[in-house]
Amino acid sequence: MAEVRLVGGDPLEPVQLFPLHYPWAYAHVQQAKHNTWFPEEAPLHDDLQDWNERLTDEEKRAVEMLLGFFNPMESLVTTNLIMAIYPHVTAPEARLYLARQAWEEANHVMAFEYVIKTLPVDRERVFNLHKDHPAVQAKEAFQMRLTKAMLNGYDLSTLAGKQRFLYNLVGYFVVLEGIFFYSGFALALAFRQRGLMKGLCTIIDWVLRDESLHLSFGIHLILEFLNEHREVMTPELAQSVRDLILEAVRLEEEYNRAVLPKPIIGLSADALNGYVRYVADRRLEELGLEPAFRQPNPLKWMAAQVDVPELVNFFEARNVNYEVGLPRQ
Amino acid sequence: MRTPSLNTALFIPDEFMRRVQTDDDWYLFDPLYVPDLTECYGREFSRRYREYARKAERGELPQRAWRKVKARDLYLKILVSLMETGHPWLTFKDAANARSMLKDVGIIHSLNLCTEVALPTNRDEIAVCNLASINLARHLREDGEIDWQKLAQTVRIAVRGLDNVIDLNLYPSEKARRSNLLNRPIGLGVMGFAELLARKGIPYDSPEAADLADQLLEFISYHAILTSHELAKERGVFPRFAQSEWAKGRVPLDTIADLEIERGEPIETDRTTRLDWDALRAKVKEGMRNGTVMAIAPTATIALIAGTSTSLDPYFANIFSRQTLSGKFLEFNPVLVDELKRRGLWERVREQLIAARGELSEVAEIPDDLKRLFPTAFQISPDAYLAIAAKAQKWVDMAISRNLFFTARRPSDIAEVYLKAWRMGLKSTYYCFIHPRMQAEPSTVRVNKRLQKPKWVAEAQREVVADGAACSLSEACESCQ
Repeated sequence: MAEVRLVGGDPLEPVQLFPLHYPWAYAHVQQAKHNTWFPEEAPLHDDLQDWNERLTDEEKRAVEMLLGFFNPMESLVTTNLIMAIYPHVTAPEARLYLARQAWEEANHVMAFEYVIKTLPVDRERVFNLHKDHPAVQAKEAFQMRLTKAMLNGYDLSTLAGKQRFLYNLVGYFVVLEGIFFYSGFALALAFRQRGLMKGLCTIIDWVLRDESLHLSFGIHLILEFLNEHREVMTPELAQSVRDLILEAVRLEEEYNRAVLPKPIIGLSADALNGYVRYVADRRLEELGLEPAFRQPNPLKWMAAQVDVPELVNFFEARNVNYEVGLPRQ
Repeated sequence: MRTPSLNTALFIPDEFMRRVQTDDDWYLFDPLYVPDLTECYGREFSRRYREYARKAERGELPQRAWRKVKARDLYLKILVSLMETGHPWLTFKDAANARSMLKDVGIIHSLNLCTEVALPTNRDEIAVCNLASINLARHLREDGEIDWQKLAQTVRIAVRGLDNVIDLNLYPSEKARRSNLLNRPIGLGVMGFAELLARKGIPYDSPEAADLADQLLEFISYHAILTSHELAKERGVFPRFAQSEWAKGRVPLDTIADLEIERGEPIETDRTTRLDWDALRAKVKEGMRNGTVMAIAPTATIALIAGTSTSLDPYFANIFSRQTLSGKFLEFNPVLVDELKRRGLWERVREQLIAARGELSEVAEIPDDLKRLFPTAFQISPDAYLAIAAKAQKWVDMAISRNLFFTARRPSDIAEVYLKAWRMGLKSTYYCFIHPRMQAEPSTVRVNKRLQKPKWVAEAQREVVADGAACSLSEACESCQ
């Protein structure tokens, strides 16, 4: 059997899973299996009623902006996973996870399509937002730049190549899945805090759980890669990773101001941006870098939405806490 | 088992559980060929069932009318579904029927949706739930003792109220009205048991808690039956009184022996009494206003309105969110908050409680006596849930919606619990809550995955290594520590 390498082994070697070299990666595969869900399990009829009878025009625009960002981004993640990351990650258990993650991203695309199809949103507007709206466009361009850097004249055996790879991992696992998506989650969950859009929020619960898993895998992958290639994290790279995250924060703040030009009940662009900075600090620290903002989380209500155990009155809401794919004995 | 969002239940005969226990075959029949099996229970059911099995083996039933599986394989499939969806609920047909006070009136074909109502039905009669639940926590005096006099008074009012409801109700169908007026069944239950325990300083997972459930339900049952008897003298007996077990001078406790005879095995529950049941036996023989008197409902909504813990359930966690029709709300265990405030700890540990997902065992600053007193529902052993339900079921003539909470990961981990529930004579179980392995990354809690792995990562990793996915790393690797 060929030598197993986390990154940079033979990309055409067929998978031979055991013995495991990176049990954490296989643990993520197993957990992902237990988390399996399908969009149609979340009923949206109450959301439709909320949309027609209770949401203001500003709130509808905010939801459209949310969908207009999530929908194309989920497919961008898939593209990057398959074209930029998968060819270079060669440990079998890690590849298995990436393949699974790609399915989850596709599932998210289908989930947002299900929402877009069900609610009377301006479909054209939602699908064209990433081309038409400068704030969405800027975030997309940011991600595209990272993917493109991996496709042209790229050589992983050099230090510069390894650094570019790490840069891409940070840009996708940490920035997109760990910062950009998180303010979207907060925006959606602010509606449920007021008893609105509960079906959409059930989908958000699932997506958030998936993204937590992707992020956890990403952080593992980054730290393991840095551990195996100590030469990669030079002071210059640390500085440019930090710059990358801070640039993302600026783009996100711009975007949130466009999503919420005026505050809606329970949420303003300022509060949401405070949350983005709080989450960005967390990501910097997880990468072993100094936090940049050192501000408290302004969205304390997220504790009820995400942090504590959830008891569901079964006849009243969909319980998303059951895991599937148990051993049969 | 392929309908994860329907609220399904199984009404299981003893014959099946026995075959699971002894690892025998189970025969599945097309109801078209065995129509009488749903109309009998206990020994009679077993006799006919075995006769059909013999017929099947002899080739006297069409091939498509039956199938043979291992009872344990089917049991396992049921448990897998239960763990992955919370359904189907396991309810026990022979316990429900053998312990029915209306067994000569007719057979109980199923329990109701919430699994606490056990009443006969037939083509012309649809059973009706007439339910009320006493908030136990409101019957605690300032000195921490139970106000028994007040409790007796509440029971009396509740029973009279429920009896009135039968006459005042607007019925959706003639079949429902007919059944309700002929049997006049009522189901008095309780809520706030966990709050009562907490205020009295009794851990849920203790013999004292089960004894208190025993004492409370005996008292409530006694006074409910007494009130129904007095109502009978005042307003007359229910039309089918003469066919009921009451008319034979029997009380719910006496029917445990009936179940033992039907099952041919001892029921693992005690028969201790504290009140003068002989005096009550003499009374019920003279008359009862109601065919049934007690049922313990889940009270998921009314307990929330009353501001107490649900049914006989413990607190779900010391801090949790509740998803309802109207949205998602944050809840604390109010008794714990009072206690922490009294000790001057509340402000200091509040944030830590969120980080610990309501598990006191994870918060170093919390004193040990509070950790023991305020576990989460998932930290309580299944035995404690069964012990409390079995004590209550002694006195309850209908059934108890017993929620169960597990940290189990494999169906085989919970197989014994449901067998034990059956052996203890429980009539029903309700939702099966499984502690989810993984949680989404918290929002308001300090997180650094580089310095501290989330618990679920460590658990999932231990699992894949234990599952024989042999690891090539040395034992000193911190991944498995």
